[in-house]
Amino acid sequence: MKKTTKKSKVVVQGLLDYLSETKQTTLLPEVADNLTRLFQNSKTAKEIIVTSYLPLSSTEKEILRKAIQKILDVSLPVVNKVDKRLMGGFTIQVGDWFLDTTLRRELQSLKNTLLS
Amino acid sequence: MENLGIQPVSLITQIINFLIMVFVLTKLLYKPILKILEERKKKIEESLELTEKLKKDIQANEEKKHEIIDKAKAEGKKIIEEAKKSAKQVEAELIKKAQAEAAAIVVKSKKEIEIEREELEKKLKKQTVEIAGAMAEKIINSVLSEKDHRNIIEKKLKEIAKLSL
Repeated sequence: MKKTTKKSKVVVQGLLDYLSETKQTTLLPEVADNLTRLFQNSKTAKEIIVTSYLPLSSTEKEILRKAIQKILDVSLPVVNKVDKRLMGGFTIQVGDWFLDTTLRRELQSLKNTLLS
Repeated sequence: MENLGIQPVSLITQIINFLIMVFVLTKLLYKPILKILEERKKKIEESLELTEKLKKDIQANEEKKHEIIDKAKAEGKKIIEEAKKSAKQVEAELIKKAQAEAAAIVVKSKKEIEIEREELEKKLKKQTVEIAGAMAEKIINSVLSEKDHRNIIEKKLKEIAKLSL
């Protein structure tokens, strides 16, 4: 098991605070199961699918591969797909684990904030 | 008496005849007539008494009638007064009720208007955000160059690389 860092402790505490504030602490076991499942599914993934606005260079792919290896503790090849609808940035998918850094998501997030 | 031309026998006979006549008349005519007159007088007296009694009864009835009419008038007046009082009370209650209902309608209407206003504001806000989003999307697509997109990708890569440290 990887050593627990201060950053992860902050994230976990933030999650606990959120569940406590929204009176949803009963969801904690379910959330933990989901996180575990996501992490486990990423272990069985065959590749890292990166969908980006522009094609990634081999250097960029390598940076991503190494970063994902450290985050999820998996060593997988990077498959790059191009999608202009993203408006900018890229998404990463490893099994069920998904990270969205696109401008489309940021714009949507901004819209949600304005509407809330 | 004979010198006077009066015959004693004849006189006696006539006296007897007269007495007989008086007796017969008394028995057969005078007494029944007196009796009838007496009865008639009695009837008249009774009739007069009855008339007097009837007069008194009529007067008593008249007084009673007036008394009843006066009483009825007084009661009628009282009923009218009570009805007026009751009507005023009902009127006041109806006015109070109508005022309360009107106030409730005003409150409800204000609330509905407020809800409607909020919904419209929400709708307008949503539409504004949608339009702004669409505009931002068009601007991003038209303004950002390939170099800008490359810079964005590199910036995001750096952020992810930081996460793994």
